[in-house]
Amino acid sequence: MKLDPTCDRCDHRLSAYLDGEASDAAALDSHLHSCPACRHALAELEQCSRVLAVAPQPADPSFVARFRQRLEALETERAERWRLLAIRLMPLAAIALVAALALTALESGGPGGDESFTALERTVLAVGSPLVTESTADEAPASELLLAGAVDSRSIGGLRRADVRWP
Amino acid sequence: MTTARERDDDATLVQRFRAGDPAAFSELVERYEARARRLAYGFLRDQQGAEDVAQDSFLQAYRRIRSLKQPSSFRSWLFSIVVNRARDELRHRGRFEEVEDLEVPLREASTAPDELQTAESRELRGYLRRFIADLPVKYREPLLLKEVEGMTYAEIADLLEIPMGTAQIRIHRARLRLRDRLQTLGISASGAGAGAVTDEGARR
Repeated sequence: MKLDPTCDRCDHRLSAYLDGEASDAAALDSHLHSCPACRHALAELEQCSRVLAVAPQPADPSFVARFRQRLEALETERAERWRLLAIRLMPLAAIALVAALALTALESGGPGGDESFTALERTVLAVGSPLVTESTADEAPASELLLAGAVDSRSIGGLRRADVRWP
Repeated sequence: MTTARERDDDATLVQRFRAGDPAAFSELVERYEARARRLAYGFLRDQQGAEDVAQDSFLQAYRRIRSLKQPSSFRSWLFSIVVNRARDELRHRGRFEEVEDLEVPLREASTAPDELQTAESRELRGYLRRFIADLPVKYREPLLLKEVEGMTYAEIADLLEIPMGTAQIRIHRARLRLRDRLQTLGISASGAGAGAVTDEGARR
């Protein structure tokens, strides 16, 4: 049996009544007393609740142990991923370090470095990040020339700040 | 419903964990594992699936706990993770996963109201799993938070970030839809005993 179409007084308020959250519980109470259709509708809603009810799950002490195991396994896996990544990046880091050292050595060994370049800029140039523009004709990026030994630090010193455009 | 004491304790545990005490998170797991499994079971109707969803949810909570703005809201935050994870699992399994279950004749199903009340009959569980999966998400989630976890409308509204009136109406509509599906099985509040599964219903 459906809700009595002639009775539209309850509708979703029946669910609120069933859940103990109706703001007008007393009024619904008295209506339900006199309206078999709404009583039946309420019984159907109660039936749905009973069918969906899930018995409380007993506490499971081994759940926490399983959680810890999974967590440890994931942490180990993550640590291993970082280790492998570090191994892969090691050659690049070594190249950057050598280039930085070479620049530093050239700078301290040779006269006439352009003071408008900081050590950081020289290091960045050495690993080839910025693009070099407005330089003299058919110049390769300064970092490549330097790394290839084609120029010395004095040539690099000829570059101005305006020569370096950050990507 | 959460008591103020529980919320305080949750907040303390969350803060202890954030301060570097891993045992505090274990305490949170101990406190909520049964309820997380139960809530997940409400969605999936399958113990192993519920265990997996609960485990995944705690792992996610462990990783993201720094994003929890109010430590006292740990419980509803955790349950929202469980609900999302259960939703993903249902989507992953697909709607027609339990076809075999549905083919089991209901003649063998127990008609004992007690068993139906706790949805322990294997056959009914198969149907329920299907019916729950078929409910639109917007109806399914508030309904299960109410029926399984016993949350108040205000808590459900807060967790799902919807107005309280909307939560109430969606729960009601979800029940009506479920009622209609149950009636196709011959389960209704009328007839010879509420909750009885009839042979007639089984043949439909």
